[in-house]
Amino acid sequence: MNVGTSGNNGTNGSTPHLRLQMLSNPLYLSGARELVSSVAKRLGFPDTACGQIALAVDEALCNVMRHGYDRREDAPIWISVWPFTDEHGDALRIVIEDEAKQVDPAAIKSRDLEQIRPGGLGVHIIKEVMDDAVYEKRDAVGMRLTLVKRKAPKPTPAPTATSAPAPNASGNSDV
Amino acid sequence: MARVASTPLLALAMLCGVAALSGCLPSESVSLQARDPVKRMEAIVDAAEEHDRSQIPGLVKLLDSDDPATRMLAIRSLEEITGETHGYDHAAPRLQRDKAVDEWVAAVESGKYGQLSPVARDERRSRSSQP
Amino acid sequence: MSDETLQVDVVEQAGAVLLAPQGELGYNEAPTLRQYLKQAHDKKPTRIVVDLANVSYMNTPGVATLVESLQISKRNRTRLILCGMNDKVRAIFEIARLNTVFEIMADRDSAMA
Repeated sequence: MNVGTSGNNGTNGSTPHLRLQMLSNPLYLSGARELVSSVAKRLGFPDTACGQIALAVDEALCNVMRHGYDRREDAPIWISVWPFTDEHGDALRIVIEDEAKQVDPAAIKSRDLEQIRPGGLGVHIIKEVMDDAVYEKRDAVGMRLTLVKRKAPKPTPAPTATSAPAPNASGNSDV
Repeated sequence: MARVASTPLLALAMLCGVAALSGCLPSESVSLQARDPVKRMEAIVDAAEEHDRSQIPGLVKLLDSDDPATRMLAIRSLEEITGETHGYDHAAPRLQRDKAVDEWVAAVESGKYGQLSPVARDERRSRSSQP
Repeated sequence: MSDETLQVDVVEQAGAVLLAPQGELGYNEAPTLRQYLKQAHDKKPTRIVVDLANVSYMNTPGVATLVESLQISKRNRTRLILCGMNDKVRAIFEIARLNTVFEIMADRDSAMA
């Protein structure tokens, strides 16, 4: 599990299999998370994983709305989804992008706090349920969160084992 | 003797609860040492929001709290501030938690998080760090 | 407006207050539950039961509201009991390792008994 910066934008430069543009209105939260989780379901992810994906997407979107856009309800958020396969098996990459003010990714975790009030819980949950979560600044404006969920259970990090690449870096020759 | 024992603290917290019920408790200020669990919670959340490193020793001390919710809040706050957990799980059994708190105490003492006051840990809890 | 976001049934019985929110407990709805919980705490009951049987989904704002309420309960020496969780709701408590932090019961009857 990574939460941090990475040069990897997670998109592999390819067209997403699914791309949703939504407004930062909480009205659309449930639709957005259900859409992503039902796609995961159709891709053969187990029910538990689909529920976890919905939860992570929801937490991440809440965070953008509450902190990125300061509860503004008319700003854009994009969700892109790519299924992919690498040496660890099948996985789903979900990228959430916004045009909100850019923040130092190192500080982003603290930004979740107010929303979560007992703090850090939202980020903690995203980290618990996803195999990878990387925050970074987008080129021009806004932030990008790349989430990866694997179909098989999370590979446990083994530093000695064949210098295993971070799941995020794998299968992804970034443009 | 550094006996800031959590038992009397807890007793005080209970007293505080009773007094609050009757509405005669002078309102306590928000601090990590607050007897009032709500004020304590607010202080924990504030520390994380402000990324206030000076609160790290006080938060580490709360990892020993008898109140699991306080422990949960304290570790999430520490994780917010430092990005680390040192393997602490607020719901783990005492012995396991003690080991993780020992790591936290050592990390604070090592200066890893800057010049901080030492963790005023209850003796009873810190024994696992003794040889 | 608040009743649009979340409907909460309230039952007062023998010093206990039961709150039964209906629907989702997320970003939008958590503030409404928070208000109901605050009102319940103001009555200084011996027990507050939150029946989650009709809550289909919960995320951190919902959980955080309950954690906050738990701390208020401790201050007031009120017993806070959660009951009726479905698997989805239970999962978030488990992920956040809060299943041991709250007093959780199977259903409303056992929580009110």
